[in-house]
Amino acid sequence: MKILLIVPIIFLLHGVCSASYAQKVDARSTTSASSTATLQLNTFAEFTVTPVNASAFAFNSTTSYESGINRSSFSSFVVKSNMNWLLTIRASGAFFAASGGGLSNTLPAGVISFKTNSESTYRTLTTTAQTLRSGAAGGSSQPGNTFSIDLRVAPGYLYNGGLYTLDLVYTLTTQ
Amino acid sequence: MSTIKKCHLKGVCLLKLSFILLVYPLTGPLKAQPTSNFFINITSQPVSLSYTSAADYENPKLVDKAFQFNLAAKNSLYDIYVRMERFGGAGPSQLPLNLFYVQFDSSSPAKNVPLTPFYLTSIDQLLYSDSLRGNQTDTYRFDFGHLALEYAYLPGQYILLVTFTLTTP
Repeated sequence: MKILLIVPIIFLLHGVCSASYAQKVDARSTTSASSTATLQLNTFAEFTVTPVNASAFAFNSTTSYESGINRSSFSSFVVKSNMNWLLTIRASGAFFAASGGGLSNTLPAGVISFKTNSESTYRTLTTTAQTLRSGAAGGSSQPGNTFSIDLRVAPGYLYNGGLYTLDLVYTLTTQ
Repeated sequence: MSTIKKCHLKGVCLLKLSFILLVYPLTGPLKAQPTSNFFINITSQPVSLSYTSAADYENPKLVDKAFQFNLAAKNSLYDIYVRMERFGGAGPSQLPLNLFYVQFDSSSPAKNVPLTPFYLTSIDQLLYSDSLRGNQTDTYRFDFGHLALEYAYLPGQYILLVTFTLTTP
C-alpha cells in the first residue's frame, strides 16, 4: 500500500521537474539587454559676416554726392541655428566718427540705408535695431539662411570732407 | 484495523512532505542552471553626448567602445541582434533612427566580425552568429556613431534605447 502511494507522488514530482526544465528551454531561446544613449542638443545659433564689396565709399564726384553710392552685396551672411532666428542691424552710434582735425562729428548714421538682396526698398539705418532678416532652423543650405545685404550711402553736401567711420552692429537671436 | 489505517495515512503524509522538501531544492537549480548559461549582460556605461558647437552639429560622431556586453549560450549556436527605439524624455522633435549605427569595435572580439556599420532601426537586425562551448562567455564591444545631425532638430534631450538580443536557434 505504501509503495502504491509513493509511486504516484514520484511521477507527480517528476512531472513538475520536467515542466520546469521545458519551460526554461523555451525561455533560453531569446534574451535581451539594453543600454541608453542620451543626446543633449543645446540651443545653437551662429552667424558669419563676410565682407564682399565692402571697401570704403569714396565720394569724389558730383554724381556720387548727389545720387549717393549703392553697394550691392556689401556683405554676405550665413546663419546656422537649430531654432528659428532673427537677425537685426543697428548703428553703433548716432553719428559717424570723423578722423583728422577740423572734421565735424555731425554726419548722422541715417545717411546709410540698407536692404537684403531679396528686398527692393532700402531702409534707413538707426541706432535702434531693425530686423534684417528672420529665418527657420537650419544650416547654410536652409533656404534663407545665406544672403547678402546691399548698402547705400548718401551724405549730400552738408558735411566737410574727411574720413568718417561707423560700426554696424548685427545681432542674432533665437525665437 | 482503523487504528492501523490512521497510522498508515499519517505515514503517507510524512512521506509526501519529505519528498516535497527534497525535490523543491532540486527544482531550484533546474530553473537557475539554464539561465546562468544563457544571458547577455551589458557591462558598459550609458552613452551621454552633448552638442554645443557648429562642429558638434556638422560632423559625424563616433563613440569608441560605447557598448560592451558579455554573453553565454552554453553549447549552442547563437545570434546577436540589435535594434534602437526612442525612449522616454525624447526631445521636442524626432531624431531619425537611421542616422545612428553600431559597429563592432576593431579590438573585440578576436573573431572574424564585420567592421561595417549597422544602421539602426526599431526592428531587430542580425549582427553576428557564433557558437559557444561549455560555460564559456563571449565579450563584444561596439562603437556607436551617427551621421551629422545638422540643425534640423530642436534643442532638448533625446534618449535612445539600444537593445541587444541574444537568441539560440
